[in-house]
Amino acid sequence: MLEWITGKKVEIIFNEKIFTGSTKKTVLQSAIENKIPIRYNCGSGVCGQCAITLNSGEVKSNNKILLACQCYPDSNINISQKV
Amino acid sequence: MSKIKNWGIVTPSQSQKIRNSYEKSLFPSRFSSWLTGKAHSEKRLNTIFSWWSYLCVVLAAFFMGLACLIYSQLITVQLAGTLLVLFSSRRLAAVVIHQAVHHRLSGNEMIDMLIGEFCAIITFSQDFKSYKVDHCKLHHSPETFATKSDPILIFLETCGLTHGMSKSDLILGLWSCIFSPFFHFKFMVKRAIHNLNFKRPVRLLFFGVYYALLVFEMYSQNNISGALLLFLGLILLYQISAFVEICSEHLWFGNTEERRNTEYFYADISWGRFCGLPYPAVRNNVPTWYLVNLFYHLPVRLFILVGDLPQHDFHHRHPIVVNWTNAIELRNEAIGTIVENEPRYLEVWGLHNAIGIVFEQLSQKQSFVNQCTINAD
Ligand code: FES
Repeated sequence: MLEWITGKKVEIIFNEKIFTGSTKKTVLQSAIENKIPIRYNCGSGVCGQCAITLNSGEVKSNNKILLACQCYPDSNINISQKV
Repeated sequence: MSKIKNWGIVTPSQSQKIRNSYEKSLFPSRFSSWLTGKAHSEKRLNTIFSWWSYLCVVLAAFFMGLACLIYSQLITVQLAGTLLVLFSSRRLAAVVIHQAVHHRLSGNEMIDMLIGEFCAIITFSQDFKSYKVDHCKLHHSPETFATKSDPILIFLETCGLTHGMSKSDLILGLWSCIFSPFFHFKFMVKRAIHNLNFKRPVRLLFFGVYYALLVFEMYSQNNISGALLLFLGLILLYQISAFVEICSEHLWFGNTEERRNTEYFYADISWGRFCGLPYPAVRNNVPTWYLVNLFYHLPVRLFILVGDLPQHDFHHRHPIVVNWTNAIELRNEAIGTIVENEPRYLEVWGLHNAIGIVFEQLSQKQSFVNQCTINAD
């Protein structure tokens, strides 16, 4: 019922690790909350450290390059990041 | 025993012993944790602040300080006002605006930007937008962090503290800047340029209105000493505080190539900077211990290493922690949950020791970061 506040639960596969995220949380937030190791630094879309590749699914993002700290999953997604 | 160890880099376990020794003193545990910047190993003393209560208290202190300077003719009240302005303006800049550029103040990008710009205007400091680029893009990037492209190092260079100078020249340079009218003038002009940005008319309008009101109130109260003391607190002492703080912040030019390409590129060149010293084993030294704490470490904590700056290394390892007001506790927890391959935490006690290590590195051509780490064992 409170989905419009908390967002819809989605499944995120990141570098082959599976965890649960939300459509109202950035991919980075969800990864950190689930203690998934992810490369990032500023958290505000400036440093470019958290760039990811979308392998499948849909995300909401205003940037050309997908940044984990700036994009919100719209469906179950499969993403990866070069280590 | 190595020379570097004597400068004060210690391991977290040695450091914990220093903090725990404060329990023998008359200081309450919560006060000791705040003063030193290091939490007790067992006593859980979480902060009473959330982001908004912290912001409200600091803003209240700032405007109370201004009110003392504008409306009181009593010199003691004005002096208290100067200290309040310094105390709060440094927190607004180094804590509130800093968290806001990481979108970690309220967590909402728009609210953080508005609060950040407001605080930058009232503290006459670098505007939010350009600070965000300087800080997030350059200071937080592995390619530029602690290199000659890091805005903080560019600033140090313009102040005359350059890589390769001898340590004694660096120390002399630090003192010269603190007392140099030229340094203060240049710093102030830099702050003014950030604020007088004609490309951002709305911000400029707010800036103009705020300072016009301030000058009008000062003028109508005919409070010359208040105006001079405001200049002292918000401009001169603020600049000294910011300058001394960055001289102790990171091991500038200290990164190694191998480390730069890993996710822990910041770890070896950042440290916890704690304020204090071990409680003396010899009873005769106890009065001196209190004096050193009250007249050296306390002012440092109040006016230089403000807010979460003692745990600045924790910020670089966990830059987007939401509960940053509790960084003292969180840092201790993080030491206990260090992940595989993560370099362990380094800790320095005493601002002078941190500055000493930074200057030692600046005076060398090669990085001595590994040496530091090894010697702390
Ligand atoms: S963490 Fe810096 S751009 Fe995402």
